[in-house]
Amino acid sequence: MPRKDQNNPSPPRAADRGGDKGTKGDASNIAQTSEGSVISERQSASMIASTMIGVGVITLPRVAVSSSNQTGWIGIVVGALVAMGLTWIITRLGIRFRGQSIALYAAELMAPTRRLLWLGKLLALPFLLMLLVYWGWASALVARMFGEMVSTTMLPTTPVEVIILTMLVAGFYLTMYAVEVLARVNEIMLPLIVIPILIIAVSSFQSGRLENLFPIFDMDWKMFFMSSTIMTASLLGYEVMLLFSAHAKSSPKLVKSNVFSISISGFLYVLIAIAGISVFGYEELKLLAWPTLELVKTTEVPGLVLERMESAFLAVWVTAVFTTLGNYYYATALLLKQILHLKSHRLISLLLLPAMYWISLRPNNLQQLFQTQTRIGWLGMAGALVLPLFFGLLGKLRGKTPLESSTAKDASKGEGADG
Amino acid sequence: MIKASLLEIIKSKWFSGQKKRMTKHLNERFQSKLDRLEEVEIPSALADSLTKVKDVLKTSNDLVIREFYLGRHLPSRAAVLFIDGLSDSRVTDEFILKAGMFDTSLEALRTDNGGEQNLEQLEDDLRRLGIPINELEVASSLKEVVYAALTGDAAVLIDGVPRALTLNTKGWVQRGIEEPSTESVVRGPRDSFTETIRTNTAMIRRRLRDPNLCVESMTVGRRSVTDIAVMYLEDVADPKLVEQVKQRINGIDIDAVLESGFIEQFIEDHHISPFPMIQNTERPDKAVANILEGRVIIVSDGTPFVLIAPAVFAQFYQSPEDYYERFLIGTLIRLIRIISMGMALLLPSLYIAFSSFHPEMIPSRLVIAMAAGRSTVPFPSIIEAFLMEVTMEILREASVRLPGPIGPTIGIVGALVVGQAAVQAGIVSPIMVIIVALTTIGSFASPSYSAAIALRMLRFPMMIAASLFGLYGIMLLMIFIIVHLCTLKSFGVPYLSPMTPMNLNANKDTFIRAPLQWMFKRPEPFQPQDSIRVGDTSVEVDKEGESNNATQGSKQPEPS
Repeated sequence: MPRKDQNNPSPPRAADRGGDKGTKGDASNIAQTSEGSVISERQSASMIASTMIGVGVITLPRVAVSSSNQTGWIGIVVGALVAMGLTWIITRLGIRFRGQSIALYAAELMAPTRRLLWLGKLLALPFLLMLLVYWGWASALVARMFGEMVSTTMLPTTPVEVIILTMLVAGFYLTMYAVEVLARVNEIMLPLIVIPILIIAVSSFQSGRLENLFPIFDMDWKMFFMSSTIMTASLLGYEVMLLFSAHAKSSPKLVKSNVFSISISGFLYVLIAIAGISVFGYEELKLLAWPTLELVKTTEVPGLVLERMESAFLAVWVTAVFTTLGNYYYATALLLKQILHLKSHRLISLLLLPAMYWISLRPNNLQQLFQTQTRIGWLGMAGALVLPLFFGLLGKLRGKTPLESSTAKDASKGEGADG
Repeated sequence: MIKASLLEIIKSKWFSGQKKRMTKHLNERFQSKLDRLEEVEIPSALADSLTKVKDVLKTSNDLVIREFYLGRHLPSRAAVLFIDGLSDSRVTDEFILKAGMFDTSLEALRTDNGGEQNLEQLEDDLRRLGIPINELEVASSLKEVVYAALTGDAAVLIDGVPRALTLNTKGWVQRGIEEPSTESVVRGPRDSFTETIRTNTAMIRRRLRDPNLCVESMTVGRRSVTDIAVMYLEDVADPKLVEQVKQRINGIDIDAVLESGFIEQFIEDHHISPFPMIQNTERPDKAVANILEGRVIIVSDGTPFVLIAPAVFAQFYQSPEDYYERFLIGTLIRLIRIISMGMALLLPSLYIAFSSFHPEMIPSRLVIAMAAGRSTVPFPSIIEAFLMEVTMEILREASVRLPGPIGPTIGIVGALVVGQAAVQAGIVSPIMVIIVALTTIGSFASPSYSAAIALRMLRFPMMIAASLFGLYGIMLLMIFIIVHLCTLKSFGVPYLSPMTPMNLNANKDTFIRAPLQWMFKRPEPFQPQDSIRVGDTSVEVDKEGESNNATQGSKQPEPS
């Protein structure tokens, strides 16, 4: 037994195999959902919240005011509501197809009959590829964004490539372990993410001016829709549950906790946006590259223990970026593994590492980076919007088991809430 | 479910082919004399058996063989043999030799001595022999005789009887029960474990008069044959956990166990981790508290350090004293300890990060003072910090080795030389001295030595990370450490539980120490069978001083 797990990768593999026996379902299930139900409700909620809260918070106030000026925060509320609805559908789908991820149940729903499952797989492939590209690209861009931030404010002499690489390696290290570990990491890091933003948002109100927020409802429908769509796109992250719900314990509380997790990040987003608008005003905000960092600069620490908090904030912010990057990285590797029907995702994530590094260095400058990010954001939003709605509807139309009828009804209701 | 399947994997890994080959090798090499004696029967004639025993232990000068006549009437030749120093010679003199010579009657034995002996009858008669010693066994093989002698028992061989008596005469010079040296507390019991397993198990038993307290004995070590006792509460501890602990201990194949650390290293889950996967203690009260939480205690002979499995991270800043003081004080002390452990881990690296990457964060007056202090220092801050930290570690190690009276002196010398003189010589800055001092003090505030070592160890990579990337590097390494902590499991219990997976009830005893009345349940991560720990409070005390008796049913008789 001294040799039980001498090399690092072996304990998760043990957990992998251990989960196998517990998974109920047919043979094809077992091949893909190798972990069993290991994610608790709380962990599932923190996974959603910590994936959502990431590098986007730093640019959030600017994005919020870009289309609807001082009323930008309303768009966040709407976006959060949409996200809640979608999360609800995703979670119901996950509960209905217990122990299966999107890669499996999409194929099952698309297949005309059991025997034509391969056709279903083929038909589902474009949808899965959409997710795959979004997740992979997003995690690379998150690394790049953070690298840019760090090298402009915190470590001006360190090349951005080094920061990107270290972040990616950290994410890679996380993907070496089982989903169980990922869930635990998210759970323990969520407070480390939420508390700093709360402090920043609340303490920056000291220099905020209320008149910057008025008039509150100064917008037309076009602006409202634009800003809501943009904010929906920036509130992505819950769609990782399409994949990880396969490992979640399916309990009735899961739906509630997942939807609640959106409200955590939605609340923080609204708070940061309002803080940004009230401190800078929307005209100035539109010109700032990293508005939240500027927000941090305006805050003063009582007692002057530390001056100039932005380095400290960025340092703490590494955790938020890491969870987003790590979760997306993990999701990419896991989805790719499930599409390719492989045994383990470790090799894939190793191969993904240089690919992501390459992707992250593609934008030549900050402007291109923001553009790419927006484009990828649209892709992600399309994925996060279309997949749950489409498969929720499909599941409703193709009622098979008694369990399904209620789920499908719920799914259609959730769909109604979006419109 | 995961636990059970883990068990299976462990099984398959433990008893895989490679392991078997190794075992075969071991069997060839460590085929000890004792094992070979297993088959050898005790001869009837006393002279023969003595020759055989002498043959086995021929080079052992400490073997004492005293031949005497057993029985007052019709005496028979007999011999008592024991190892000098391991057996209490007063007991052998008075209760074996004296009783054997003058008080014993051999009539029962003599009844059918001449013809075919009924062995069962004989053994029965031997047990009733007039030797006033409480633990008495009848041995039939030579191995038992030799083993008895080696463990400190005395063996009595009687002429004409192909059986031997082994009698408990253990009594070697042992250290008395002293105050714990590594885990001292201000308030709490002052006794600590000793090197003798029986004393240790008795100290636990004395605090826990529960018939459900199990003490399962086993031996580990082919040559040392060390006694190990696994202790747990039968109706509290998770049976799977107990089974796993026993299985892992049984799987150990080693020549000698010199300290419980050997057991720890063989049964722990992760060998390559700076964090201790099994807790150890020399305090009986701590051991009992852990038994009551549903953990398993492993007592090993020859060491005062008792193992506690499974371990979780939170335990390493918890001290028994937290529970003895009132809860506010306990909580405060615990928080102070957490802060000090953070200091031990982070302070030097924060200094490096601030001074070489983020001087803008330091308040401007302080940064001027710091710069003035550092102006004479020729090295970058990482070298400066490494220099001081390594010196400190050397000082610390040296003060452990130094003989008692010189020990404190080295502290003064070290403080003077390293502190004052180094600053005056311009090798280090005064701030650095402060930081090193705080770091060292901080690492001593941790109640667990093994956890403090882990932090001491991680301090150096942390400093390197800080020197490379400043605060970002520190955070990055912290993330690596957190992920690593999340991957750890000790006997199927996640290392960071109850923080993750979150368990609100068990969290009453992690960062804070809730009042004992609130902690009415045992911590769930250990999956205790009997989960209720505290019943309703029996007496409600009114603010005015009137006490009304809101009684409740019978409370479980458990010492807290």
